Order: sequence, then C-alpha cells, then structure tokens
Amino acid sequence: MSTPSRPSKDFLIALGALLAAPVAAAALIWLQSTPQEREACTLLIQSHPSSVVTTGAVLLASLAFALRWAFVRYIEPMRKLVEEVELIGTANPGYRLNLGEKGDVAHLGKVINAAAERLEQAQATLDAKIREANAIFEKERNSLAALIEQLSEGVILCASEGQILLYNRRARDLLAGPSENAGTDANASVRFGLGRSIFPLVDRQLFQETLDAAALDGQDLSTPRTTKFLMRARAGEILEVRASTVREQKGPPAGFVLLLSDITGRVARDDQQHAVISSLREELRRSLPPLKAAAETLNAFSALDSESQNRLRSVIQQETMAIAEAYAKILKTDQDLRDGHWRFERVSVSVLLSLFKRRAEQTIEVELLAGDSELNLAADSQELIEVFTHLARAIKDESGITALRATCSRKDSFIAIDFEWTGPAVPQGVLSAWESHPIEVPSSWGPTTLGEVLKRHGGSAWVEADERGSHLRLLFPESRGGQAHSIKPPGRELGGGGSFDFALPISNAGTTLREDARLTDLAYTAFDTETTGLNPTGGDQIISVGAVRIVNGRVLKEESFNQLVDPLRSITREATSIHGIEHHMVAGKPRIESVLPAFHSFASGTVLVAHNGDFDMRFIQMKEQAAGVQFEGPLLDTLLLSAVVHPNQEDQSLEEIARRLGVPLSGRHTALGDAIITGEVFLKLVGLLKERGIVTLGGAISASKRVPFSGIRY
Amino acid sequence: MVGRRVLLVDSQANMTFALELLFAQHGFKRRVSRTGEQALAMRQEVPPDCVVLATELPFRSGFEVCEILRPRPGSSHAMMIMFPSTGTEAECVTAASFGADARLFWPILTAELIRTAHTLLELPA
Repeated sequence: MSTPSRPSKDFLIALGALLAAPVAAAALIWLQSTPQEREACTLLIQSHPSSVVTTGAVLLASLAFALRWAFVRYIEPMRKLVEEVELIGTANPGYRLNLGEKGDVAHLGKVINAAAERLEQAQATLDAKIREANAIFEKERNSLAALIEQLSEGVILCASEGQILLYNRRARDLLAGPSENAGTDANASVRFGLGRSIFPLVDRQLFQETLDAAALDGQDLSTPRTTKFLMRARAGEILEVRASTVREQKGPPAGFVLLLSDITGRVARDDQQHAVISSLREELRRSLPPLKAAAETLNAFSALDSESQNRLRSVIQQETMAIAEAYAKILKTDQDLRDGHWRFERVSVSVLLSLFKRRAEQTIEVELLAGDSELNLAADSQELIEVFTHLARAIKDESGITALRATCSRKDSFIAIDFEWTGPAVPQGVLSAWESHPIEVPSSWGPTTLGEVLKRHGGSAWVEADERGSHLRLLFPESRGGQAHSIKPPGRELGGGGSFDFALPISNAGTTLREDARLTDLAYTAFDTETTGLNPTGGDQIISVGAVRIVNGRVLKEESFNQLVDPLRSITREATSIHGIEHHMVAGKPRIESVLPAFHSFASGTVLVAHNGDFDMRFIQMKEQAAGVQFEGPLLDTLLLSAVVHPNQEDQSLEEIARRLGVPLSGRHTALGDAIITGEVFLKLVGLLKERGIVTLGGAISASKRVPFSGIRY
Repeated sequence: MVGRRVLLVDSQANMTFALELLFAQHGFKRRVSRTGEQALAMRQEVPPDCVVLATELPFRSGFEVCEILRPRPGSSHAMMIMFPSTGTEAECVTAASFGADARLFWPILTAELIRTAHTLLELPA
C-alpha cells in the first residue's frame, strides 16, 4: 500500500486538536492552582528548564507520531477502502481490495474480499438464471435483428421528428457508406447514426404530405399511411423508397419506417426495353407507309411501265428488309433482357430437375438420368418447375404412364430438357393445345399459360417418338453467364454495419444539449487524438482523430470516425514510440483543415467526451480558425469525472481507471481504440455519478470544475 | 382534271416516289419536296392546287408549313392534306388545329388519299 504524498487537511486538523489538548490541560491546572503551587511549579521549571522543555517536546512529538501512525494505518486506508468497497458493490463486482499483508486494515481487506467473493458468486448464480430467462427473448430479438440485417432492402425506423431509431447495414450503405476514413465533411457518413435526423439524407418534402395526413387520422390505428417515392442514393443508385407511418398508441404517429430498394438495375432494364420498343416503332413507322403505298400502287395499276414497276418492287424489297432487320435486333435484345430480368436467376438445370422431381412426386415418378451438370438457364425457377410438373401430369393423363425419365443436354447454344417415357407419343396438336393451359405460379402476378411461360423463357417444345419410346423435348437458350442477376443478400457477417436499438424509446430520441438534460438521455461522442508531440503551441500537430458515438447507454462501434491526418511535419520519436504512427503512414492523408469539419459534423448534437480532454482540445483549438469550425459544445473529461467519484485514487490514467471499472483494454494507443475505451469508461462513470446524486449534464460539468488537480497523475 | 398540280412533301424518298407514281396514274402534275422549307419555296414558284404533306419534316414540321399555307379569306389557296408520320391520336388533333383541310390515318391508304384529293378539288371520282 502506498503512502499519500503529503498529509491531508483532515490530518492537520486532528493534529492541531491533539496538540492543543495537553496545552489546554496545563493552562487549566495553572488557573485552578494556588499561588504557592504556581510558585513551586515556576521554581521547578526554572531549576530544570531543559528537562521540562524536552519532556514537553517528547510528549507532543509522540502524540503527533501516534496520530500520523493512526492516520496512515487506519484512517486513510479506510477512506480508500470505502471507495473501493463501493466499487465492488456498483461498477465492478470483480474488483478486489489490495491493502497489504499485515495489520488490522489488511485483515479487514481480506475479510471484505472474501465477502465480495461470495457476493460475486451469488450474483453470478443470479445472473446466470436471469441470462437463461433472457435467452429466449434474446434469441427472438436476434432473429429479428438478423432478419432485418440480411434484408436486401434498406430499413430505417425514425421517430416523428426524423431521429433514426434503427437501421440495417443496407440502409447505411445506400445512404451514407462506411464512416471509417470519412475524410471530409462532404461524406454523408459523418451525419448518419442512431439518434440523428434522417432529413439531411432523405428530403422530408418527399413524404411530408403522408406524415401530415397520418397526423390527422387521429384514433384510427388500423391503417398506416404509406407513400412511395424515388430518390438518388449516395453512389447515384436510383432508390424506390416506401415510407409508412408507425404508431405506438393512440394519437399522432410516433414515427415512420423507410424501406429502400435499389431499382437501378430494374430501371436500366426498363430503359433498355423501352429503347428497343421505340427503335422498333420508329422502324415500322418509317417503313410501313412507303411499303404499303408502293404495294397498293403496284396492285392498282397493272398498266405501269416496267421501269416504274421495278422501282416500286425495289421500294417494297428495301422496306421489308428494314423491318426484318428491326425484328432481328429485337430478338437479340430480348434474350439479353431475359438474362437480366429481375425475376430471372441463373439456375443450374440439374438442380432445377431435382426440384421438379420432388415437386412432381405426388403425380408421377420421375427418374433423373445423368446429364450435363454444367448447364445453366436464366429462368424463373418456380415458373419452370410448375411448367414441368404440368407437362408431366398432362403426359400421364394422355398416355396413361406412371413413370418419366428426365435428362438434359447441350444442343449448340441451346439446352435441351427431355422427358422420356415408354408408351404412345403425344400428337403435336395436343401439345399445341396444352400451351394454352392456365398455370398458377405463386410468384407470378397473375394466371399465365404454359405457352406464355415458355415464350418468356425463349423456349419451345415438341414431341418425338422412335423405337425406344416417346419423348417431349423442351429447348431453352443457354444462359450466357456474367449477366445473370439474382437477388443477392449482403452476405457479410452479422452485426457489422447495422444498428438496432429496440430499447430506444420512440418518443425519447435526440434530447437536446441542455444543462438540465439527464446524462442517461444524451448522446455523446467519445474521442481521442494522436499527435506529433506534446506541445501544441510549439507546433506539434494532430496526426489521428478517432471517435465513437454513444447513444442510449451504448458505445456504437459501428458509428465511428477514424481518420489519419497529414501533419505536414515530422513526428517525434517519443510520440511514435507511444502510438506507433510513423511519417510515411500519414503522408498524403487529408489535412487537419478538412478533417476537423468532418469531425465537427460527426460530433454535432452530442456532448464531447475525452480523457484529459483539455490536452486534445488545445490541439483542436489551434486549428479551429483554419478549419472554419468551432467546437463550442460541452466537454466531459473522464479524468475529472473519475476524480469526482474516486477522489482518493491517486492513479487516474485511462488504463488504471479502465482496470478499476472493469473495462477491457484493447486497441490501446490508437485514437479510435482509446476513444472506445474512454466511451466505455464514461458509461461506467455515469452510473457511479448517479450514486453521488449527479444525474444532469450541468451537475457533471460543475462537479468536474471542483476537482483539485493536485496529485492527479495521467 | 388534267393539269391539276399536287405538291408532295415527305422526307422519305420511297414514300414520295410511290405517291408520285400514284398521282401520275391519276393525271396530276407532281412536284416533290423533301423538306418544309423547300415546299414553301416551290409553292411560291408554281402555286399547287393541293399539298400532300407529312406531319414530321426536317427543319420545319408539316404543322408549321400547314399554318403558313392555311386558307386566308380573299386569297386563293391550295387544299392541304396531312398524313401522320407517327399515327398518334395527338397528331391527328394537332393537324386539325393547324388548318389542314383533310387528314388521313396512319399508314395511309392510297385509295383514300386519291379519293380525298378528288373530293377537295371537286373532281369527279
């Protein structure tokens, strides 16, 4: 156990009181004694002055020593003890006292540690039971979160004033992009996050009318108002956005949900289709009138001279050729469009046939013959399987068979799918009649026919019979690959980009920065900087800014800011030894003048949090003018807040506080790593401040101001 | 009937060629123009009795030409027959508002064109 560097005020008061006692006693005896006694006493002092002074001095010194001993051994350890025991009871149950090996206080420490151990065990058992109980709820919550995260559509839930309450990765990708290395202020990612307004990114005017209408709906909860509009995404994609109002209870809507779909591909294909149609229309428009006029003139006048007749025939020839060319062009584009059609996916033919076998099980026995396993079709697989099944049933009814063999093979640029059976062939006329059979496909918009599905897939069908039996052949163009579009899920690991906060009350998002705002309601930006050295006025510069947002009592690691900065000067060796950043790593990175505005936007509307924030702010303030921004908002310093809750702990370094509060240390001495640790430490401190009755922003700021700086190490 | 002058205006050579032959068979004197501009110039040289023009022409549309040539009180004028280039409904309505004496449907029926010309010029069918 270390000794305090100097005696405390309490010790000096006690010492004064202790030394005053014998003096006061002597004065009292003196006042109450008779003149003879006083004379005898004076005589005694006069005859032995040195002995009396020595005795008095020894007496006072031993009293002072005894008091110091008692303070060092009992009183001061006791005070630390109180703080540390409180820590065990609140922020860090795993914390253990270390009061040395010898002495009564050390013994007390061991007793308390043992009690804490039992408490922690009991707590652990209880926690385990609670965890178990929560597991089911958690699982459901996680499934919902996973579901939202994996959607190919972007989802954003907002409170009525636009604050984002929930979003998935897709939404973030489409609207803002990753915030890492945001670079400059122009990057939308610095303004995207939980608790922030969606309106800078999605124009409110586009659906204001719907919100207004919903506000007038009053009591009717059954029908949410919905509207649809188009907008451009961050990277220029065309987004179809569906906005629906959300209600929690009776009254005006509590918020709205935005569903974002990227329809760029669909629009491009629509455009392509439209272009094909217009070029065909143009061709027909140009060619048909002269063709018709020439043909009519040729027919009407049999007596025309041969020269005129020949020229009219040549007109007919030319225009017919032009129409034929247009037709050839449309055929070619048709296949391209089919390959890229949003409902079509690239499917393996062998997989398609296995699915057909399972689907047709109830109707007919299907044997799959080994075919080419490398064949792919651009197809709506549901529709094709339905067509196969329908055909199998029709063949069964027509030919009275119970088993079919199915196989596939390549025929030039086509894929042949053959259904073979032993029995009478189906007449071609009957097959033609089947093509008008209605087919019901769940994924389709409406009823369709077998022929239409075939046509849509560019396919054709016919029947052949030979000595081995009969077979129905379906011919489809092979998918040329590369072009194949299917709905692609994001396919990355879960929880890396989206943010869910089911606990965020829909009505309590975005508390404004006021002194009386509760600490638990505010949003924060915990940040840290790395620098070229320790002296901002001597020209040292920021080389890295890391920050993370804290909303609703959670450090949102997915909403972070991490940017290296080119300091345009060298980095001292001492600094590099701390943060490991060397000159070549920052050369060519954005300059602080462009990074500060981005960081300013990232931190807007939040309270800044930093460890020994004065240090970072001095560097930032040096550059505020050049960057054209000013950080005027409040700053909470974890160094000072820790001193508020633990005034008797000498070590207030971030590392030590983190250890004390049970915050895991990872990524230390990178700006972002330290910012995250600072954020976690801050959240623990908010809990401890509450124990001391400090619950508002103003309370935390004024408590920080009262902290004496002396004796604090950082 | 002999000697009636028709001015055929369309940018497509094949079309005007077929129409030229058609009108020749019916005894008209024909002139052909590829553009609206040229048509206006030709009409100054030799005023036609009848103008058959497409709605879509390079530089100056058939509508513009029609408006310039439209009948004015007290002056002799040519009969205007417009035939649509695209066949949309809007085109037909527009042709009427620009003062065409007759308009045809797309694609034109040669027999109807001749019949219309005869009717407008009060010639025996």
